[in-house]
Amino acid sequence: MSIQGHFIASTQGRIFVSQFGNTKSDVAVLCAPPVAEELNLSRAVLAKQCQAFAQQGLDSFILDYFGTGDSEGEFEEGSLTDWCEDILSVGKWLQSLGYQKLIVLGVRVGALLLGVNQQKLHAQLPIIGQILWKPVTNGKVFASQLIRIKQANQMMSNSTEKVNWRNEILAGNNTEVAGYVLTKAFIEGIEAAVVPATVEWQSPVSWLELATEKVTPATRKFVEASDVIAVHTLQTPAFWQVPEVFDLPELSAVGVTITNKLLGE
Amino acid sequence: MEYAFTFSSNNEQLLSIVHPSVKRNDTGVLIVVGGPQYRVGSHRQFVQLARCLADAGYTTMRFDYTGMGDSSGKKAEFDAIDDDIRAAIDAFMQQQPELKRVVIWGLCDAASAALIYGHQDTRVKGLVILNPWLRSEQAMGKTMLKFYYVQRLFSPDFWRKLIAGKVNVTASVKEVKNFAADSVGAGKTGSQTSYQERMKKGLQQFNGKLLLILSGNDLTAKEFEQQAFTDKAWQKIKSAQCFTERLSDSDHTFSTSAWKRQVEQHTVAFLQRLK
Repeated sequence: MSIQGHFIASTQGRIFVSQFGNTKSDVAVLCAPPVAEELNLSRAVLAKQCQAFAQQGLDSFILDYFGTGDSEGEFEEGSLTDWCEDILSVGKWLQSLGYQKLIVLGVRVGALLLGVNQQKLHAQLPIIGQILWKPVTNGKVFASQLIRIKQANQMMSNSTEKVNWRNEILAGNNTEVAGYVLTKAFIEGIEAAVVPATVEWQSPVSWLELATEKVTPATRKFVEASDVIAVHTLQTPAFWQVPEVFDLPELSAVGVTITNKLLGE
Repeated sequence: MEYAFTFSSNNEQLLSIVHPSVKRNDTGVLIVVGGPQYRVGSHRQFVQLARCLADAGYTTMRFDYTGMGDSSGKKAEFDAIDDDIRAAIDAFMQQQPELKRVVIWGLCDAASAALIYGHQDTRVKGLVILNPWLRSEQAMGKTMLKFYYVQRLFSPDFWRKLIAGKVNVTASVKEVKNFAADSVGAGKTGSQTSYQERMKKGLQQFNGKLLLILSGNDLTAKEFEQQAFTDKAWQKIKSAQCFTERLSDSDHTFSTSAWKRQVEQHTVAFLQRLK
């Protein structure tokens, strides 16, 4: 199993792609990772999943959206629209390498990007199945979680000043939250990104509810509205939020089972 | 242009990103990753730092050690990555043949790893260590005493609660006493070959220059300072070979652009001083 990294051209600049395995068979897994600190915290777990795929002969790739990870640019220069274009750029690059079918794996905001761009992604890429890890389905909730970090920090620094940071950012005052600059464009973009329960999924979806034993009512709505979603629950740590989780073999094993099923093995 | 490169260490594949500088310089910087992070760093600090250093003339490499980020294997402990660091420097110099010497840059437990490794490799001419991880029961006791409780005693909120009868004074005093007893007691127990000892030995035997950057708002930094600046065995930290910079408001990971830029400036100034 080989591990390599590549910089490839996308709409805004060069973006980084990690590659696990190099069998050059006709199927590849393309991972759309989370963003901000969730990207850092979940990276090793996602890479281990890709290594497990590669050990089964399934080449896997993780892309970094423009302004995130090892890609060019800064966080505040990218947008959700650019990030979808990045998924398309990498998908097309994989096709140029000879992969004829893609399985996409979206983690958190990565899953949100897949959800809101179902039609577009399936129209342009040969996607045969999707795996979602604890998907964010409402960008507004994600944005308010980010902003809450700012509020918590302010409280901890004993400031009595009460600031509505969302309004501040929307008024055009870029604000740093835990080391990332949030802009008006980012907040507007992510708040507009909502996956409706009635979304028409364009290929089979394996929806993994993680760090829980129960399917939430919100997820149940998605599952009931679609006949292509299979939901699985797995009592993992919330590795995208907590530090020091590097490997979840039980999660990797579920991924391998799902892809084997998709490939009819 | 930045490029990715995979090298091996003890049969594991480690992924790195190299940031070549167009201004040819024989000193390169190797960023070692610490804590739960991978080669990008908290809030992309290592990416931004590497780009800044490359612009300033210093080719820089970042990598995931065994089991971290994209690299293969079971995650190594931070005090057992000598082989990975050596393999990284080998690969770095092979990739960038103009390099003759290396400065290792590390935050938190990667700073500890850099101190442990540095003296073993003559190619390492400098270390930039930020908020080194030197936790020990003894240091914790002392730090808690000095900074937590003293701070509490001076906090208006504490006094308000005290006056309102909301603080159990006996319990608080007992707690302080226990911490004091622990920190004094632990100091007597003799030699360990702990990572703390190896860090100390590493500094004593290191012949290059060192830049220590400490955050003001960080218990890890305070613990290190408390030990290293009071313990005789650490006295080299006050020598002419070692420079200390303090960022009085910064948190542990330098989580604002302003703090990140200050760290970059201190690092560049240190690299220029190496000549």
